[in-house]
Amino acid sequence: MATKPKPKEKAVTDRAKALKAAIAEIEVMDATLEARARARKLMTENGDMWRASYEVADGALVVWIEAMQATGLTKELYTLECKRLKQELLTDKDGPLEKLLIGQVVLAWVRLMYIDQFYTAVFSGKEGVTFERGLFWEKRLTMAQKRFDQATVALARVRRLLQGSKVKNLNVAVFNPLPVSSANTDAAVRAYDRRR
Amino acid sequence: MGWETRKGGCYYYVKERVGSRVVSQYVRSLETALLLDSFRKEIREEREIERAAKAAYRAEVEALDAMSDEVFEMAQSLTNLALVALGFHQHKRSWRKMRDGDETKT
Repeated sequence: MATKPKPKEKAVTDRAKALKAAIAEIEVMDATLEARARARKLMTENGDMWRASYEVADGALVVWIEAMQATGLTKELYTLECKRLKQELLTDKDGPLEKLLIGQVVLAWVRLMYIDQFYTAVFSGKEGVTFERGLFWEKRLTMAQKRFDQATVALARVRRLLQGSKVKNLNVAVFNPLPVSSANTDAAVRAYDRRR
Repeated sequence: MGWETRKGGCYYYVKERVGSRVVSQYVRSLETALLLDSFRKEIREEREIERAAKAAYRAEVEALDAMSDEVFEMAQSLTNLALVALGFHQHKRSWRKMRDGDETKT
């Protein structure tokens, strides 16, 4: 059953789509020198791109919290918890990219909490659960968990890349908010080599 | 359960499962039949409302999911853009630093 999206949801989705389209238009994924120049040009000319992306992420977070079937106090607690989580993940060295990814981690966390809450309610209810309903919530929970994992891995990966560590395979990078020193990096590389 | 036309007349029957068989029971009184019919309609309407509410709620959750996915994809695009601008490139899904044409794994 398709319903009309709510105005706030629609505004967030539209802005996200517009930003995505602007980035997709310049085709940078081949990473040639021209593509790098195009990417730099887009980022310099659109100085408010980061601000817009933060606004989109914050807007999505507000929509999720407001959508919760909970009391005002619970919603307020979630808002505070999100702020605390953001501060916890943020380090002094973080730039706009890391801030954006931290926003994604928090958004994924809220989504996971929301779906987990309903999943528990559905499966622990006295009236039981139909196969179709169970499958729906199982799928939602798996997707939310996957997004949360992806968001944390993306943050860890970007941190590793931007701090210039020498880990060979970034796909196995482990989330670690501690600053990477050369000693830590060498130890990580040795540990990784041993595993192989 | 409902009105059935048999032998030119309209009669109200209540269906009931007994073991593997379904048994039809004729409701003799018209008043009882009308009462049962209105009661049955109410139950059906309630079920439909409940089903519609569940479907609407599911649609709402799906819309929220779609919105989040859109935001995640936007962040992903922006991350890729920033990394390319900073001189990284993707090789077999892993990011590497490119220095003056020389590839250095990071």
